[in-house]
Amino acid sequence: MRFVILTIAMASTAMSQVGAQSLGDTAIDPIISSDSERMRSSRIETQILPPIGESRDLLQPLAQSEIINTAGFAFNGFNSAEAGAGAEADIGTQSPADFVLIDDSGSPFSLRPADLYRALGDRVIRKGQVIGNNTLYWNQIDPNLPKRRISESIETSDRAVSPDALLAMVREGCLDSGASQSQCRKVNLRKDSGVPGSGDLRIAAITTHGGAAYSSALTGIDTRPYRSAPQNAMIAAYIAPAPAQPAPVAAMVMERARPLSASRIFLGRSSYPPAEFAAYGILAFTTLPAPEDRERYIEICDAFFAAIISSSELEVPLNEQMVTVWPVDDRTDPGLTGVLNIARAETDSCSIAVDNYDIFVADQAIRDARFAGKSLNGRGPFLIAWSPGDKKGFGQVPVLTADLTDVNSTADAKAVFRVWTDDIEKDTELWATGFSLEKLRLKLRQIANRYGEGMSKYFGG
Amino acid sequence: MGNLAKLTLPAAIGIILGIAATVWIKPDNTGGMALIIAVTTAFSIIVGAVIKLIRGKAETE
Repeated sequence: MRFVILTIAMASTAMSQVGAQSLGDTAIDPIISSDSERMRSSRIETQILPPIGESRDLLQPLAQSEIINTAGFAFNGFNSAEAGAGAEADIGTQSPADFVLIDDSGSPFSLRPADLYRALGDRVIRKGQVIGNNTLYWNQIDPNLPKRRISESIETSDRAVSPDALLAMVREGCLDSGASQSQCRKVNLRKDSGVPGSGDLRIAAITTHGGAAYSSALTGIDTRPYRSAPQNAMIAAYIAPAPAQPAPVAAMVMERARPLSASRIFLGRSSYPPAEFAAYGILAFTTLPAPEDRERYIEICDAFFAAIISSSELEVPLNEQMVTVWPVDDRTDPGLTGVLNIARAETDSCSIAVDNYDIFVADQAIRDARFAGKSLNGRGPFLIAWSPGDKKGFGQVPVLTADLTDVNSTADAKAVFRVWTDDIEKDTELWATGFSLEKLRLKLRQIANRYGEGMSKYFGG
Repeated sequence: MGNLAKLTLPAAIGIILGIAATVWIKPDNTGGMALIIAVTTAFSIIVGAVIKLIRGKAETE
């Protein structure tokens, strides 16, 4: 189960002519540089790999030996003696390197600096907001990357790529992602449990230095004898495009490079599950409204309209939305959801939504959440989301819930919806922990409001 | 009155804690504020009594 990152030096890879010819039979199309002046240069200048942004698409699974040929190296586990003094690839002081992630099958995946930033940066800057980086898997960076823990790619060693060099790449990726220089300057390497401390980071690396090849920190890749690249040989490895691999829906849901955006929708009974969305949750009341609590239902509906952006208003593709559904029984009026799916509530919107609430769907959702191990007691309503969405109805799947039992006003409901949207946009692995100071504050506030009002009435207030 | 006076310090601490908690929690009504302050004051008095008890035991030993 070896899984490593390797650095192909200076975005270019030295390779012998023989190595290039041997690639003729493989999926790799070598591009040989014959520029003798440049070949004599000790500093590799040619940009060889496909441009950033295109490279990943051009990759396809390769056998390990093919990778070795491409690189012109054979990885001898790690042979520090042959690696020599230059084994430490100081990418920070040279032209940009290209990082390649190799999975168990030997399939290489090109990583852009922006990918490294999102994997290894301690913070992510999104829409000007700085948030902690809690990405755990490579496929959260990009669905096309393997579903493997980032921490598996990075091991401790004294022969590591220098953290400074790695940090330089991460910050470059931050800039590539559109963040400002001042923000990117504050980005550091992650030191959380997902990724070992930066001082211990080991990135498997290959580099060339003055035409001589060095490899570092590759273990368990191959045991073939080490073969140096010919002096000053330069080569470009163009890797043929891989056929598109459709991502399974289940894997796609909630484990994406870009965090999901929360949205809302009124959905008719025949529209479940809303497959076009990445995932979905349900606002589930336990009962239909009675005359005495109808006002409460309407207040919660008002907050639903106000606190969560309509799916159609959100400028995000549907498959990047985590939609919260207000179930509507539209069997007698199929056009009902169209009336309700508007940006802002109109005078009668919530009356219609409450009067046509689909208790059947809600009841099923509550049952499914209980089956998954959630304790949903109280009058509700409950917000319930599954990860992935198609696992609704299964036991032992991550389920996020929020309880609106103590909510009595639109303001209270808005506060709960605000926390809800924050929560569902988080990594689903964090759903289980569930605790936050904001949640505690909200809960205490609900308790104080509920019992405080009774107390003041008791004392004649 | 004598026993009440002994509660001054824990009660004062409890009230201060209650006010701080009120600022943080921001309850919607005065009943909520009163409840928070009452709870923190009671809590503080209980904790104070327990501490006093423990210290008193330690001194007698």
